[in-house]
Amino acid sequence: MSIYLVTGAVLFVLGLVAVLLRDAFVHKLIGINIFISGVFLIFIAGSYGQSADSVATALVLTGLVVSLGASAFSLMLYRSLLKSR
Amino acid sequence: MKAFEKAVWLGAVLFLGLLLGALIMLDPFDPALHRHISASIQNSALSHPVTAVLLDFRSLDTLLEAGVIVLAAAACLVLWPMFFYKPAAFKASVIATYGAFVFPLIAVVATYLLYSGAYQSGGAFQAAALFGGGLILAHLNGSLHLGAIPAVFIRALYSLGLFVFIAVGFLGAAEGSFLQYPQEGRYYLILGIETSLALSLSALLAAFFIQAVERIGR
Repeated sequence: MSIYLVTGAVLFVLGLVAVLLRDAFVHKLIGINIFISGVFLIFIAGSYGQSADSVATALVLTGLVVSLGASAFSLMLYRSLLKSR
Repeated sequence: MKAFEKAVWLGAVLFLGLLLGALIMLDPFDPALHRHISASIQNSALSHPVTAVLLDFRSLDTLLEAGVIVLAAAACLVLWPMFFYKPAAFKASVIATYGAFVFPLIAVVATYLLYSGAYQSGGAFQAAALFGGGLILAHLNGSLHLGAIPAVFIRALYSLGLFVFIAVGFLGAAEGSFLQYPQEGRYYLILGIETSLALSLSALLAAFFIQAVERIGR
């Protein structure tokens, strides 16, 4: 078991803790992003054999960009919520 | 520390142990798909497996991903609240150095990354991330006057990549299934898709940041 898998698992759990314990929305959002990084790291490290697995790399590349779009959109939603209060 | 916090931390440690146990007991990964792709890579116009998966074997996924990004940017544009933002003041030497030296350097490296995707790690998304970062910095220090670009042009740029992708998809649909590239000129079609995708993705990624911090209001 490589150090990358352990790091991914630790990031996963820490992000989960942040989502559960923090009250502020932005903290929760950062927690979700840490959580997602852990998932991506486990995905890449778990599929690494002699070389990087091409399908897993392509999937994670897609996921990275989509998660960025999702967090940008949720930040904008939160800002318009603050504005409307 | 409250009881709830203690319980969450305890649960987290237990969950981490469970997760690590599961990862230890995981069967060794069998790269069956990777072998399949390595065997059929000569059918593709590209020699790097990751780029071949992204733009040749599973190009529909990449098309839908570009669609998701355009959709997210459109949603951000709808939500664009009025927000006063005063650009930070930089020394003139910093702005001039960035505009004249650093930004062109970023553009050159992004172009290299884009075109080297055909045979090594790289490609549209990596190039777009780099170039989008350059655009964000250029906007923040005001060295390139990005605000002076007409909004119509920028919106056209947002949808350029998706538009070219779908157009090429229907080009292939005439003689087969959707997104089946025609045999001749396959490499140049993929290159065209990558270039337009990188251009519009970098504009979109920069827009995610710029829209979130800026608005004209007073």
